[in-house]
Amino acid sequence: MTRSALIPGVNPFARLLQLQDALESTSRRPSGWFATSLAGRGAFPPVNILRDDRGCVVRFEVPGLDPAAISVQGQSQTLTVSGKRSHEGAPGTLHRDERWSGEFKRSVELPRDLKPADATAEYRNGVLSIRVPLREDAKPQQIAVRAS
Amino acid sequence: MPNENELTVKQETQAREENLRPGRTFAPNVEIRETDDALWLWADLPGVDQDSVGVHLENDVLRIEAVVQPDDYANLTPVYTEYNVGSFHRSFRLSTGIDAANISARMGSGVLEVRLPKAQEARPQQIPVNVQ
Repeated sequence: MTRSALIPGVNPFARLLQLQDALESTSRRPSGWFATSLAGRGAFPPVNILRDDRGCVVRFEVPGLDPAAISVQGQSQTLTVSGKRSHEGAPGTLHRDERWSGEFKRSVELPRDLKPADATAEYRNGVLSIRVPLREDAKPQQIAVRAS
Repeated sequence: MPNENELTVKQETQAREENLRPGRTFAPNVEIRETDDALWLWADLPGVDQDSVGVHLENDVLRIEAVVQPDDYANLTPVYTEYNVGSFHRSFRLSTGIDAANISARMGSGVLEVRLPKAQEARPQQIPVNVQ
């Protein structure tokens, strides 16, 4: 399996194109990475999972939330996000109602080398990014070589 | 209750005119409401900040355009993806006369809110009924 890391280039449009292609090709690839607990495509909110050498980033597109009303929980290998999205609640006649509303809960099963309990979460511009670090013993350890 | 069968897949869209720059464009999901004195529109634009969104009204067509930056993805390798990122574009033909000078818009948490006040002549007028 080939995985192309997203290398920041000079041209921002080339970077965006490269990113779009990488996200697209990943979505078409069967992922043996996660257990079946992942509800799958079409569930709200949609998730992207990305990796680097420090661990992984679990990212949800979930605009219009009160950050205080988002719950992120890490327990053994499971990361669970839950919350509630309400209608804007303005009075008047509803003409279009395409925005998802209601309570949601999604869990993601992560590989053994990650530690969901130590995750940190940030909510910005309607995107929830959760960084999950590597377990201490999963980090590369330098082994000293002694001369004898 | 969470409904995991409900499809919320982001809809890719074709702008009416071809874009100058290549790349994917998405149609934001919207909520539109009408009151006696205004039209209200909310559009989901996840990943878009306040400076990257444009709202235009021209010939009774309301156009929303927004751009996302790929910076948050730098140096990360995708391993599982359910959504793609890109620009947002959507336009609506308005049937009601709008007071274009007083349109207001704001962004918060990736949601655009637009208030389009109706022109005076488009508001419901109360007709007094005289009792004989």
